[in-house]
Amino acid sequence: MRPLPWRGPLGALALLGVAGCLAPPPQNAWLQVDVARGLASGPGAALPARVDVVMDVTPSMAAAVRGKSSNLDAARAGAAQLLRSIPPDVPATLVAFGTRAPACEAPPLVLGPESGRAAVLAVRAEEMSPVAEASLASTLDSVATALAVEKVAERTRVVVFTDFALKCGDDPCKAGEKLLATGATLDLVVLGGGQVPACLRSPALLSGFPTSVSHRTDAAPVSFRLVGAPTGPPRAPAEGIAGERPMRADAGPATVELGLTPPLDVPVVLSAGSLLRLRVIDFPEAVPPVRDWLVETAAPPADPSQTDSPQ
Amino acid sequence: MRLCGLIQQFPLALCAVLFAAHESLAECEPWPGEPSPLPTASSSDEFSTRFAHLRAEELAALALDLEPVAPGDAYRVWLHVACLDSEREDARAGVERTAPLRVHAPEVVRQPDAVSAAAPDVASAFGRLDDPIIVVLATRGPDAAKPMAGPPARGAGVAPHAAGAAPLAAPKKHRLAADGLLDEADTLVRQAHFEEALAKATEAREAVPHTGNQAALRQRRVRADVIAGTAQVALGKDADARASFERALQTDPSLRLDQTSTSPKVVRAFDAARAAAPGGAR
Repeated sequence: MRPLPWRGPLGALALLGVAGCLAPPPQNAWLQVDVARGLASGPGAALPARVDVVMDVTPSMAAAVRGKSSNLDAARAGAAQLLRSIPPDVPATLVAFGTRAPACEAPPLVLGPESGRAAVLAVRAEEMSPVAEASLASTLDSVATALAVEKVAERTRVVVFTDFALKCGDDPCKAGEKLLATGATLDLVVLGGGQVPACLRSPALLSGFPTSVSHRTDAAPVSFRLVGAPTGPPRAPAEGIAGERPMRADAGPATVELGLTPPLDVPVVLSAGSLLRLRVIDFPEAVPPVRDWLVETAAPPADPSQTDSPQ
Repeated sequence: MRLCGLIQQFPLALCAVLFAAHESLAECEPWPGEPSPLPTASSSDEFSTRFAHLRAEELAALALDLEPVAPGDAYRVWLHVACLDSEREDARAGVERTAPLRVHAPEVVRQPDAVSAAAPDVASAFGRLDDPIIVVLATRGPDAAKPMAGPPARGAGVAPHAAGAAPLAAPKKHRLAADGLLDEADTLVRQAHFEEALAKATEAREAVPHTGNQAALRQRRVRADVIAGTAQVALGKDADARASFERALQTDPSLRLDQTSTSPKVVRAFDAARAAAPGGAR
């Protein structure tokens, strides 16, 4: 018997053509991916870059208080006590003002930075003797400048022992703010009931994104691919970036492959005429690590022009 | 404003700090990589709440690590933790602990004996800035109030007290190699290079000849021992320092240190050696 014409290759082509005409065209859906990530792994906590101990050794400090020990005695003891508390692997600097002439002009005496010799600096602190009046403002300014130049300010603590009986130099407020603006922290140890200038009590604090966090934050956006589901119809892969505008895609089952480490594949079903929002949380450094996702359906974007076409 | 609710529960000083920070940090804006607007633990959206909790948790852990190392960074991280989860008590305490500017007004206590220093530790070193400052009273013998004979040695703060004793530095025309070494050692002490100072002082003592002007030579030995003892105190070699001072006192039992130019710690070590010397403190 002669085979029927539709059972041959031509018949198959004809059937495919009819099926193509009868099948409805794929309907539009939209996909939006948001990824909220935690910090990437980073180096363990290092040591402080530096500890700077600033001593006021001006003659006013040497005056005994009511026949007792002087503010200078307290500054010597306090600075030495602090310096002896610093581990040997943390560099320390001893800055003293008032130890040199001419009055109000001589630069501060700077010893260090010394590593492993903080106890040595402690002895030097105990030996400081007043010579002439000097400026706290210019001393703080020079400390701020040195820290900024050496790029160690953000991990430096500056401790000042003073009675704030200032006889030379400018207002210390500007210098104090300059020091804080470098990222260093400032501890004022006020001796003898001295008064801290009001401006130093409410300084403008450093703002911005801390470097220690930015170093562990992956600034690169997470990319993703929309591909066909393993058991679904074939789909041309489309690529997108998490956090950007919704992507237009064909409705139907699919898989979203996220470029995380390790990669994450999320099965989704895109519904015609709606927006599928995939929200991912990834905290690889949490204990235990946390990775989760949520699929939400929402109304499609009001303005289709505000969507990305598949790439 | 979320911070306002947070601040109501804070001490006044911390409020001031937070307000100052609030102005400069533009009120809880998301950092790069965080969803915008910044999710909070009090959000009605469960997913945002979960993110805020997780993010606050990891940033709090980071802030704790940063505190002893980079307190300025830790402060900003704690503020952000408070933005994410205003109910966290540790964020409030962290902000207080790490404020970039802190004022301390410690009590000053005078006592006769030195307090042994705790083991070096950065974390607690700064926490003790509000603790009383111990000023150790100088233990001065009755002779100490008298003016010293001869110029005091600069760094070591030593002065011969015996009437008619020669100045520590011999006249230039009689200078020996030991004098140069002692001058170098003295300078090294003043520059806080104590290991080198100790080496020079030891070398100088050995360089002192056993003949010649015995009075001047004794003074050189005394000077060398006092410089060595001073350096050993600084280096924490207390037993060696005591031995050096005892040697100096054996050479010159009337020896006193210049207390106006000598570290109290050195004076105490010297006085201890003097008290233990035959005859005790005089």
